[in-house]
Amino acid sequence: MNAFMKNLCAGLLLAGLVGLAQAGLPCASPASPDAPPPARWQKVFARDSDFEIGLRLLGHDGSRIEATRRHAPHFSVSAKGLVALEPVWTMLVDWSVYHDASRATQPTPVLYFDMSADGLRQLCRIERRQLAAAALEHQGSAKDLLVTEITQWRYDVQRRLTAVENWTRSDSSAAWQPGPATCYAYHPRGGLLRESTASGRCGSREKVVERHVYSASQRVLRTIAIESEMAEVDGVLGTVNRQVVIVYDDKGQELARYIEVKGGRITRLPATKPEGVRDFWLVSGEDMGRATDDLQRIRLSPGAPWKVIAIPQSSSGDFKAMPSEQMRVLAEGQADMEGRASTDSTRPAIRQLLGDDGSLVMFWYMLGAVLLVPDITATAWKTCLDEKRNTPADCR
Amino acid sequence: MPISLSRRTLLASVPALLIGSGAHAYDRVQAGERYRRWCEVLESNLQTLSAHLPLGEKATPEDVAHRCARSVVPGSRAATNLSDWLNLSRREREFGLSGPRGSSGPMVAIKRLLTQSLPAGDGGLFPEPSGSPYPDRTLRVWYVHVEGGERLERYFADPDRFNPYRLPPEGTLERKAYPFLLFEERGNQLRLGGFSTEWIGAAEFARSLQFG
Repeated sequence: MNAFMKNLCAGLLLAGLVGLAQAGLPCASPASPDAPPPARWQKVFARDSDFEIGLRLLGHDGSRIEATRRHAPHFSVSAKGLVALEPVWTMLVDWSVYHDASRATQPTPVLYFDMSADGLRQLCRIERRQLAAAALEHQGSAKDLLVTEITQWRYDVQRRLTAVENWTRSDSSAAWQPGPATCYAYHPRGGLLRESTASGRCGSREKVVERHVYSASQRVLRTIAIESEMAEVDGVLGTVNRQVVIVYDDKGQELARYIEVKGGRITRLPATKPEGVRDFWLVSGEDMGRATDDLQRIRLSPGAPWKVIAIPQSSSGDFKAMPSEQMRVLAEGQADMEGRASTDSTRPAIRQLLGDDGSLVMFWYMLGAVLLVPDITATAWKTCLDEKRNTPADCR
Repeated sequence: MPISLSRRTLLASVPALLIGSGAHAYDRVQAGERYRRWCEVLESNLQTLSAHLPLGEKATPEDVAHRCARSVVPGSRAATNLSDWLNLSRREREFGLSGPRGSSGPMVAIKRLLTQSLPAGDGGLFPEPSGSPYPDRTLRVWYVHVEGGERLERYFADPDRFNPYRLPPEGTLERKAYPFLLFEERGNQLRLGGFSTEWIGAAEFARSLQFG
C-alpha cells in the first residue's frame, strides 16, 4: 500500500470513529445557542409552575422530587471510594406526566430529551420562552415565542455529565449572553476527577473549583475545593473564597475537613460535631507554648471547675449523657486565681489524640463544651493541597 | 373551585416510553388522561347535585348515587364521604362558618387535592376486609402523587402516616406507603369507589394549614 492509500485509509478510519462517537453521544448539539436543537430531540411542554421552587413533583420511582434553582449536581462518594455526580432534580422527575402539547404556542418552558446509545433518555436542554414584544397585542402563535434562557446538559459517550451551560438574551435582536457553566472531567478509570467553572461553554478558560485525589487503587482520598461564603471584609459584605480539603476514610465516608479559619490559620474539623458543642479552639501542635494556642488564652472565673475529655468520633447524641466508660477524662481541675486552666501536663495526650481520626477532644467547663482542634502547619497544609500526593498519610 | 383541566390534551406527539417512566409497565400518561376526564365528569356531576339540592336540605349518599352515577360508584364509601363533605361545606357556608382568614370548606379542599393528584402506579384489586358490606376485589387501587409545596411535605414525611413514603411494587397494595384512590373500571369509564386514609389525611392536613 502506498503512502497515499495509507493516508486515505487512516482518514476514513478516523472519520468513521468520529462519526461513531457523535452518533453515540447523547445531547450532542451545536455550539451556538442560536442553532435549533436537533430534530430527533423529544420535546416536553411543561408549565411555569412546574418549576416553582419547593414544589414536589412526581419522580420516575414515585418519589417526591423537590424543584430547586439548582441545575448543576452535587457529588457523592460510593462505598467503593469512587466520586460520582448525583442526578439533578430535573433528571429525576417523570416529565411525561407534565407534558401538554397545547402549550407549544404558549410562553412556557420546553424540555428536550435525547436517547443515548444504550436506549436510555437524557435530559439535554430546558428553554424558557417569552412572547415577543410585537405579539403581545394579538393572539400568540409558536413563531411569536422567543427563547430567552437556555440551560443545557452535555454528556460523554458513557452518559456521564460533562457540562451544564447557561445562556440568556433579552430579545430576538440581542446576542446570547453566556452565563455560568459547570464542567466535569473524569479519571480514565471512572471516578469524577474535577469540577471547573467557565463562562458560556466549557472548554476554554475553565477555572478548577474542585479536585478529587485518588489513591493508586482508585479510592478517593480527599477533595480539594474552593468554597465561597458571604463575609464582611473591610466593613463591606462580599463573597470570600477559601480552600477546603475533605478527607475520606476507606469506606468513602467523610472523615474530616481541613479549612482556613480565624486569622488565616488552618485547622482540621471532624465530619460531625458533637451535639451541644458550639465552638472550637485551635491547639498548636509542634510548639505548644506559642501565643496563638487558644488553650493558653483561656480565662475562667477563679476556682471554676474544668475538664479535658476525649470521646469516640463515631458517638452521637449528647456527650454529657454518654456512659462513663466511653468518655475519657484527660485532665480536670479548677481555674487558678487568674482564671487559667493548667493543662500543661495533659498536652502530650491532647496532641496525640488530635492526630487520631477516631477521637474528639473537648474542653468542658461551666459555660459548655468547646471542641479542641489542631493548628495545622503551613507545611502540612501545602502537602494536603498537593493533588500529586496520593497516599492517605499525605493529609493527616 | 371548579376542577380545571390544567394538563389536558396530552401526548399524541410524544411516545410515553421515550420520555416517560420507561421502567414501569404502568402507563402513567394514559392513566393521567383517564383520571383528568374523570375529574371533569365528577365536577360536572357535583355541580348538578348542588344545583338540585334545596337550601337547607342535606345531600344523602342516594343523592350522590343519582346525580353522580357517571363518576361515583353508587352505595360506595366515596358516595357517603362526598355527601358528608358536601353537607359540611354547605352548612359552613349557610351559617357563615368559613373559619379564620376566609378558609374554605372540606369539599373545596377535597376538590383541590383531586386536581393536585397524578396517577403514579397500580396497586391491584382492593381486598375488602372480612365482614365488609362492600363487594370484594371490584375496585382497583390507583396510587396517586399529590403535588404540593414545603408545608404539605410535613404530612408525607410523618412516620406515623407513612412508614416510609414509597411507591409499592406494581400490582401490590401496601398501607402507610402512598396515597391512593379506589376506582371501578368498566371499559374506559372510571367511577370513584373510595378515598384512602393516606389520601384523605393529605386533604385534612392541607385544610388544617389554613388554621395554623
